[in-house]
Amino acid sequence: MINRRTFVKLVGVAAGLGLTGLSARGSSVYKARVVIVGGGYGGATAAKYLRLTDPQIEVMLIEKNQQYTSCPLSNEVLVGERPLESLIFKYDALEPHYGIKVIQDRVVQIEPVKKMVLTQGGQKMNYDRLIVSPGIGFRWGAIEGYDEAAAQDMPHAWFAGEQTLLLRRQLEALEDGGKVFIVAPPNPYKCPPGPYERASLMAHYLRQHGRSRCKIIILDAKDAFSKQALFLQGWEQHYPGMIEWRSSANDGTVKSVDPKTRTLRTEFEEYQGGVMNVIPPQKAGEIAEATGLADNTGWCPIDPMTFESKVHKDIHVIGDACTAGPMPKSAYSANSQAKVCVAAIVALINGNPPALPSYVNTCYSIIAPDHGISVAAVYRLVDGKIVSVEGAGGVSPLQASPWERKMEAVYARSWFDNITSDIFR
Amino acid sequence: MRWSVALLQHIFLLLILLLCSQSGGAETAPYRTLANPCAGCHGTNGYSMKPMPMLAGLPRAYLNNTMQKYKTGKRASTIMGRIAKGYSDDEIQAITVFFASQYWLSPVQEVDPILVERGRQIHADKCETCHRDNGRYQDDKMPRLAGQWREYLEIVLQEYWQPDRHMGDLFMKLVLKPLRPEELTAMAHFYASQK
Repeated sequence: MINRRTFVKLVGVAAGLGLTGLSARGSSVYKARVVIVGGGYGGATAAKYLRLTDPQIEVMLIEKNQQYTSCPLSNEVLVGERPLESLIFKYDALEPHYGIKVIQDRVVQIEPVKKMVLTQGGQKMNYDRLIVSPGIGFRWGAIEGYDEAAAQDMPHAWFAGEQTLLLRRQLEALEDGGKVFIVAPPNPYKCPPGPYERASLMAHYLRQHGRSRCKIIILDAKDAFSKQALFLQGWEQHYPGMIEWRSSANDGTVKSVDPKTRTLRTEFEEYQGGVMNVIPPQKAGEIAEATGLADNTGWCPIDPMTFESKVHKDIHVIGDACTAGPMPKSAYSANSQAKVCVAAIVALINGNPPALPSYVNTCYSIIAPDHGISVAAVYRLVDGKIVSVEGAGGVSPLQASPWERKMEAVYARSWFDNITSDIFR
Repeated sequence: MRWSVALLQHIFLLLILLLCSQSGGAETAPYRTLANPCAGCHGTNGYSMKPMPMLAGLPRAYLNNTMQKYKTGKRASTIMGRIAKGYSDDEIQAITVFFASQYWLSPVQEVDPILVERGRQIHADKCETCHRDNGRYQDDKMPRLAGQWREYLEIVLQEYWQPDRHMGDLFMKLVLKPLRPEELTAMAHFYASQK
């Protein structure tokens, strides 16, 4: 005798293998609707995996941009190692292959009690469950003088696309002996190793273009950074004397900027001229904040088993916007969290308890085209908290052969191709 | 006939999947939950983009043995060792059941016909005895080679060929040692050309 639970599982497995007549598009009887706000590494993963796991759940993915431009690997675009086009992904495959209703619009309001979202275009959508995956927002003005307008003179390039190209043009125009300043933000922020990969690849670019007398100065609001020992080793190996890191303890924290005079000010110093890449302090994306999903840290607290908001029922927050214990704010984390969230939502919609989750993060950084490094972690839930599995994970070894460093750079690019295929194909 | 054996194997694995999902012990996450994060590097359901190896449809015991070699360090890796250590032996079993229960798919690939022919000769001479049927054969100890990503095969053949890279398989090292790098490339083209 097959009980309902087993039947649903059979259908899920069979549907996943394409063995049933239930096509994702053909099914006109949906048992529930999940609306997803944000079509990035978190939201788009959730959309696809929801449909793969339970084709009887209707999925609406609301994304403000017509296509997605990946921030991961954008440092390679910044220095001309790959074209911008390689970062761009369309949503075209999602509807025909998975029956996801992709709506290009911007969510302006979420009503947690009515369980409804309202878009800029005037659409109203009811949901049974909502997944909010908006990414980060900037704390404009946290660095005095760094507002949205300032980003046109001192680009953050912390969203890929126009900002990447803007910073690239500035870098291209920098004369030999000139300076690049990278203002690195305090924790937590999207992509912990990002600023340091950027410094590495900028140094590579400048050296390649005969401008080895240029200096890259990282003014950091922190006293330590991701994969620090590996970066320092790589810089010494490839770009000796070109990159200087100033920790917060060493007056690295930038307090104010003046885009008009191209000035950066720390507590004791003033820096002028050159390329200025200011990566401001961050918080959860605007819509999450506006809906009251964030706490006083500026990020969204969630139940780590389901990613359901601790503030509003039936709303789940994944990706950069949420606080997920030790998981860094990375694309891999967003993709991993989306899958846990989806599994939980499918269980809950089908009247089952959510199963035990499992999470992974892997972050690659490219120090030079043939020199990659990585950090990895496997996480599990222990006593209601996400913890990194002891004895596992960690960073690339400090002692490694040139072949291994080269392979990690190959795998970094391979990761990008695979994760984007996991999401957009 | 081979296809019906494969079909039986898949039905068997499906049954294991169902049993796994039914038992759903409090200690272990379900097989899909454990395996899904792998897709970030290995593609959805183990259908990868090059140069990551296609995992979908490889033999369960072979995948399990390989993950155990990564976990214990018996096989060198850049990142897989760090990841394999994050799972218990039971969890690794569950993950490998998941990938093994998928159907093998040979991706469309570009190969050089001259290298393919050279690779075919080397395979016939040195490899067919074990990697039967032009590399389609697979079991506990060896994966399917036929149709695997050429770029992955180039990497892994290099890994076996490099003297100081321990792979947990001395025999393979001995077989490949006398070959030249261009011969390894030819072999990769050959296997990639198979369907």
